[in-house]
Amino acid sequence: MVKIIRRPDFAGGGITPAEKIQLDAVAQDWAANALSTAPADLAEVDAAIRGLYAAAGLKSPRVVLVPSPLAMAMAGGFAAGVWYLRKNHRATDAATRAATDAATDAATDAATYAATDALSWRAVAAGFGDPDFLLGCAQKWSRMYQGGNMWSAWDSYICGSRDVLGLRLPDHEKYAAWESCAKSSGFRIMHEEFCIVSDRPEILRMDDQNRPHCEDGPSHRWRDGWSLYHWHGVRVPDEWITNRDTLTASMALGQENTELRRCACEILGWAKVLKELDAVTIDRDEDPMIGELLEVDLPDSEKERFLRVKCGTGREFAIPVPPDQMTALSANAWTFGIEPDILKQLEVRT
Amino acid sequence: MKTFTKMAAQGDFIIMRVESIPDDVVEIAAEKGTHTVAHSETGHNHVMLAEKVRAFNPSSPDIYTMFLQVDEPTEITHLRDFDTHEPILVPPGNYVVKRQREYTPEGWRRAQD
Repeated sequence: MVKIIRRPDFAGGGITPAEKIQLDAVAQDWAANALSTAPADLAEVDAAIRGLYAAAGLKSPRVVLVPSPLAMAMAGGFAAGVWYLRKNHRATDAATRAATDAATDAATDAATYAATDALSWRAVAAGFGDPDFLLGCAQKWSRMYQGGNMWSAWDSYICGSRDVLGLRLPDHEKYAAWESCAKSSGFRIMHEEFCIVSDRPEILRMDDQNRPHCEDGPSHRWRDGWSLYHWHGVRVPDEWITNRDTLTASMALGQENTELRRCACEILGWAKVLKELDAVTIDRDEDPMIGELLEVDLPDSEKERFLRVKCGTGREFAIPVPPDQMTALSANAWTFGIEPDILKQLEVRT
Repeated sequence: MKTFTKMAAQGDFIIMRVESIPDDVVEIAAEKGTHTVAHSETGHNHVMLAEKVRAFNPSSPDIYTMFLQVDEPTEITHLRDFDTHEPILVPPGNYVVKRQREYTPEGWRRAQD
């Protein structure tokens, strides 16, 4: 039997049933933190971020709270770009002194009114000089970011080992600053001169497996209106949810990405897809993981054949197969480039 | 954990035991201690620890086939925290991996997810 060891500098040997209960409670608290939609408090964020920079031995930055990760990414990229130009003597002091403020304000406004309009972003960037360079910086935003409350899984691990298992490590003192940031706000861009922090979303919707999902609206919406749309964990185009009439069965089956194709068929409903395309069953195997061979009428196209097949996770996919396939088994085998008799030897499918 | 003797499938690829690996293959270097058995466009790769596994590409470029030499039982793990394909334990041996493809009027393309 493995001996359970608990010391301030080491925890080993597994966990006890009592610790499991306490660790579950810690995990639930951090999950709730990750899913929070409460608006961030600027004073709290400011203090937490300054504490984080101090813990890292960095000078205190200008702290800016913006409404969404999009505003954060664009503002952070532009501001970092302008600071780079300044430090490399490629921008005037006048253009730079207010760089963080102005880039942030402009990006925040643009995020509010034209979040997906590339031309608007170019116009904002042009206001600070070299738009190509600054847009390039904005595209590299992820090099500067940390997850805030969205990285709560790591905090759950660290706090669980500290608060339940009793670890007391030298770095825990500095970690406290990180913990405060994780509890006070969302994503952030860390720069030596500034820190741009995103508020939490105001809407966060999930399905029963905690995957981002909403059938009739955004899965995520931040307070500037920037939104994301998901179907059971897969990001889908906004209009598939907001204007379903634009999604047709032929569009659904025409998606190159198999996950998006599956989502589109589920959003429309398989019955509607098959009816709209006058689908005819050519062959159906008794094993749903071998599937059903369908022939459909796609507009502006010859008749096409699809294998409607269940995968190891229980989800249904539609896979285009050659028109000369006559059975679901041969069509399925074709997708792997093997003979049907070989496919029959499959022992495990997950 | 599920395992197999000759042939298994995980998501959009199959893995089949073969007698030997062709001579003219090109070895694939491990990345961060793992081999990617099936790359996913959305980052949800299917991977194996490279410690006891060598991976090879066919001599001519092929997005569809790879070979594995497995020296000790090693899992194939799907790196996704939802709709996760169960891990499969691969016994020692030589294998070919074939990715799923789909038909296009021009020929075929690898299924993308």
